[in-house]
Amino acid sequence: MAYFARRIGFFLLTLWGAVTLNFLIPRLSGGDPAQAILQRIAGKEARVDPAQLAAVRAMLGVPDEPLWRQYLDYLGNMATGNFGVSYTYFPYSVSEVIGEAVPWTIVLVGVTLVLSFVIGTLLGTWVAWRRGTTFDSVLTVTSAFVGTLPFFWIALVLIYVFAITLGWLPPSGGYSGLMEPAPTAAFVADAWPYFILPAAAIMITGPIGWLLGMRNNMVQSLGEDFARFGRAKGLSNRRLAIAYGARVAILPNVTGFALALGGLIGGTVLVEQTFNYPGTGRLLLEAVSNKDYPLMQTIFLFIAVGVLVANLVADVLYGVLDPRARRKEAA
Amino acid sequence: MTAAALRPRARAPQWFTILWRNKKARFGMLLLLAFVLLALLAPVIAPYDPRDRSFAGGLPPSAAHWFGTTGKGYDVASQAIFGARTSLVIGLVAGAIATAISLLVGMTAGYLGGMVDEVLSFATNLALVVPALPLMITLAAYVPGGGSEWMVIIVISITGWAGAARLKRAQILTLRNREYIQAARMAGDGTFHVIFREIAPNMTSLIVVGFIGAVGGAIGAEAGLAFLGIGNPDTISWGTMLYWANTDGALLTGAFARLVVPGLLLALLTTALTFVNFGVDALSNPHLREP
Amino acid sequence: MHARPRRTRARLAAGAVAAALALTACTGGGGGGGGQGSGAPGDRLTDEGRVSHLVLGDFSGQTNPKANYNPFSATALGPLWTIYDQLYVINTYDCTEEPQLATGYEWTSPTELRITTREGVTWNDGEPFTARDVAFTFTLLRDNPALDTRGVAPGLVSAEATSDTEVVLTFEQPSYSRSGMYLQTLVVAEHVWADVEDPVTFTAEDAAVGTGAFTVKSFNPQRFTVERNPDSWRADTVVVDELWFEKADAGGQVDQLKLARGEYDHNSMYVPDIEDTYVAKDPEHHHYWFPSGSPISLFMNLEKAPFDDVEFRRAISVGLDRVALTEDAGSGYVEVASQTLLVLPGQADWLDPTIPDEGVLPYDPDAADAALTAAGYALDDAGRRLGTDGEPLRFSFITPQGWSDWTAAANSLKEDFDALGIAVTVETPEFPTLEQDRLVGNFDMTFGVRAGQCSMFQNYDEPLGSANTAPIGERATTNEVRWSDAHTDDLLARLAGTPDADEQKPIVHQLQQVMVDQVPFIPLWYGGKWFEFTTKNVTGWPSAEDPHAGPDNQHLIFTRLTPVTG
Repeated sequence: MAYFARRIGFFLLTLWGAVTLNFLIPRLSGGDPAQAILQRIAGKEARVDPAQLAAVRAMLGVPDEPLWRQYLDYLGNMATGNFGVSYTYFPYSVSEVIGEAVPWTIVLVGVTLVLSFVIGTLLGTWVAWRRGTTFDSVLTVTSAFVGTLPFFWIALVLIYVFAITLGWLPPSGGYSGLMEPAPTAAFVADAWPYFILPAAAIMITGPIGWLLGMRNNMVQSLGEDFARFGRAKGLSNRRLAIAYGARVAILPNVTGFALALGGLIGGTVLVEQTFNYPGTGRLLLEAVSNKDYPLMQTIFLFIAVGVLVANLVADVLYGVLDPRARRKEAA
Repeated sequence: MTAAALRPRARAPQWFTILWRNKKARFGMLLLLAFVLLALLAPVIAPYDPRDRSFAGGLPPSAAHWFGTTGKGYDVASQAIFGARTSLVIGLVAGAIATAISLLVGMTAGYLGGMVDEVLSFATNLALVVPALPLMITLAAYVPGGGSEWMVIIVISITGWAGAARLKRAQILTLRNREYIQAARMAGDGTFHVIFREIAPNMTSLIVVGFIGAVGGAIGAEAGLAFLGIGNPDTISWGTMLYWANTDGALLTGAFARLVVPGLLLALLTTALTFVNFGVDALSNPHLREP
Repeated sequence: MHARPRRTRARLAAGAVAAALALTACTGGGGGGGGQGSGAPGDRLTDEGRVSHLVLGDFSGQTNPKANYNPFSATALGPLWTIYDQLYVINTYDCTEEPQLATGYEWTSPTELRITTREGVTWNDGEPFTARDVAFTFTLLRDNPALDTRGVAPGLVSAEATSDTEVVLTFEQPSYSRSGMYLQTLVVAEHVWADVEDPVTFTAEDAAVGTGAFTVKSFNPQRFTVERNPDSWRADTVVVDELWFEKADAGGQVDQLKLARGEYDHNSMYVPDIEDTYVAKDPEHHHYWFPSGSPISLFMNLEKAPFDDVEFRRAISVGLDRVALTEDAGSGYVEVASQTLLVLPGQADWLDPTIPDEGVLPYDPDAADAALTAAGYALDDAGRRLGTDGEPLRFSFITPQGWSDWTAAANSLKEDFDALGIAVTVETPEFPTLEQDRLVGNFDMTFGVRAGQCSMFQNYDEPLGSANTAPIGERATTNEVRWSDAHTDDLLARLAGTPDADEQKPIVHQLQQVMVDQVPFIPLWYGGKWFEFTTKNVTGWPSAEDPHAGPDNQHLIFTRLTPVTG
């Protein structure tokens, strides 16, 4: 019981730290959100009228209070789920704006993340067991190379080949705009082609990290004393691989997966940005560049909560998967 | 096998042989060497000054301009060659800083446990929950000397250590209860000694893999930041080359070399690092050595 | 305008590229805006002799736009000119005034403006439009400062309708210089807005009531569609049934592709290498016109040495290679700016004829070097330029992160300063940070955009009026260089005191003399107003040959088109 209380206390403390950082870091660089928004509207080489600035500041309700006062208000608002009104999307509320973006990200990042993890981990286990074979060499060499291709570069090449040159798929966006977004079959059919290139761009490199990580860990754990001991005892290779190797080797991967899952809401900023995919990652980038504090803070909050919960889950999984760690925790 | 036999120092003369025997590692080291030479000898190898813009803009590849010229009249090949310097320097420095931080934090937390672990894990988790890219963007605006290479290095190091620290802590949790570690502690060896002499050698793989990963990550992060237009687009690096190719509409004018060359160079350099990595496994795990 | 041909380049690739894109044009269409393609001339002609639709560019600065039809909101959609009308439209190219909802106006005193409104206009919900709507609009802006995002209300005492067709505005002080601001106000319907609880957060999402030539047809974050308003007071001038505004991509590549394929009838975007990437794709129909906008200037902090020394500034003003800047920053699309602060040739009427070369300064590094040495800034043995304190001169130049053309320009200027022995480091902070620094005077050198408007008073008052500046550390409104000069203030006061252009001209000439002689800051190049169009479906777009409207005068442009009959 004390263990759980401690965990939850720790969780809340980290959450508070994260929320505080999220408040402070964007404000460190100073600058005026009203100015950022105004210039964005006017275009950078347009002249900005000072009267406009005052009006926009009044319109957005950009706070003039001292920082500590803003901080207290902010903590209260975050705690009560009152996320306020977005500066960028004024007068629409932050919840409304994020609510529209979240499904896109969950579908794109969620699907590709789970697929990547499963494919990568399975392949990694297999490759580790078959280490030294041609299959191992070919797969690890290929994936090591492909895995190093910069993501946005892959995206650009995909766009160039499949959208610009061949014209098979749309180059950007989430749907055609011929109909309003809605959870209907017709809309899904409309949006589907827009999903393919971003998902493909993620899936080309996505499994590789898991694959190589799994292979490395597995190879390492199979070299450890207990594994060799097991082999000496006459355990079958397959049994050894699963019971000893994979079970230990998967730990870092599980941690990684939990963290990745927790960070899902942040989306893959570069993917969404390159494909103009209407998800939370792109929204976050927009919020940051517009100094849209209410929007930025809320997305950060969701990310923080997501990652922290994921961490908690990872810790628990650790105990289940590695008896040694559990013993240590108990001790 | 005793713990002492696993110390890298004990077989220092061997480590290179072992790495060299591993075909992938050998390939990686040779490729890496090629990149280092490319960077060091850039003024000799490059056909032109990378800042010489006296050429016609948008030339296609030819004998005079291997990969053509940019829209502004720079020689693409010369920029690509000099770009190796930026990537290597930023990658190594930022990778080293990030690894050093992650080692210190991860190992101390994992080994000592208790309050120290709580505090360090708190810091690690904190660093993890703040999303890296927006943090980089914000830091890039805040770190003085906006746009300089040092700013990029600082930003990448600050944002890049936490994941590795967490992994190292995780690994050490499984190691610290091993018999030989327990034995060393019983024998009264100091904390520092145990961490760095008994545990670290068993984590060589993880540490080196982590470092190489951090270098690769830093190289990628530099390219990503440059691609987003953060920092000084006047720097000559593969990332800024891609940024300009994208901004100048190189895809539309069919200047495919401007996209392909820096992208492949980035990938090859990181691949070289990864391949060296493969050999590192063999160092800490004799059973993996290739005959 | 834009008489100067594009700089010559070897274009060996052009043929191959054209062939490649011709190929993509055939196979393309699977993506983007639903494959509307570009079709053949006349394809979109309807039975009524109109064009079924035109496809246009972006409609919001938001990446995932939300509907906001409140014309005063800072976050309103871009093309609200389709729905709402102004009293007058001021042609941004030649500064002429075109009546819209008003048919005439008169300054009956320096503080009283009488506006005659048009008869027979109805709102798109059928209600009649009267002068009372105009009075209501001005009162609304006066009573809701947060709504006054254009700065109309300061100094406005009252707005009264004296009849159905006349409204009288009264001001605290002489307000001739701001008449353009009043005349260009978008007018909203009293019968709708009077009942709105909070006009600041009102988005008119359900019904955008205006007098404009178009009405809202549909909206989603990817596309905004308006349709022709058959009851509009100038419906007979509108030959297009629908306008489709399509969301741009963040990088611009996809938009460039769509533009090259002829999928946009008109767009206002920056396009690299436009002759190859756009015009060459369909030379018969694809055209562009990039007239000059506001000048982009080199701002030096006049509160800091040596920028406070007029001799130093004068020397620098001839040591900058502006032609190189237009290549670096404007891809050769833009023109070198005149030190007079006028946008030439559009505002040539205002130019002081005694100023040589229309105020365009030469690039003469030797003269700059000599002038600097003569002014007490000598070179040391290492070739470094020394300040009057004997220390080498060393400045930072801040330009916003990610504004790549400006960064290129800053680096080009750095080379010019290097050549003079002055060390300059280019820094690229985020825009809002930079803006804050610029306003409070925390900079050595930076870029600034001022002038370029039709109001000469505004053009010179904003960057030079001492009322618009503030001590270092406090926010200046518009005079960021911190020019403070009694003679200038006196000229500005006189300029504000007369609505008569003939009386204004000699004063404006003297202000130009201040710019040329005192060099408070250094205009470098004119920002480009991007305007691309195809003549496949409609003709009559403004162009270099026929500059009948500025690229941003949509109210004029879209009532002056002619369908192509194929």
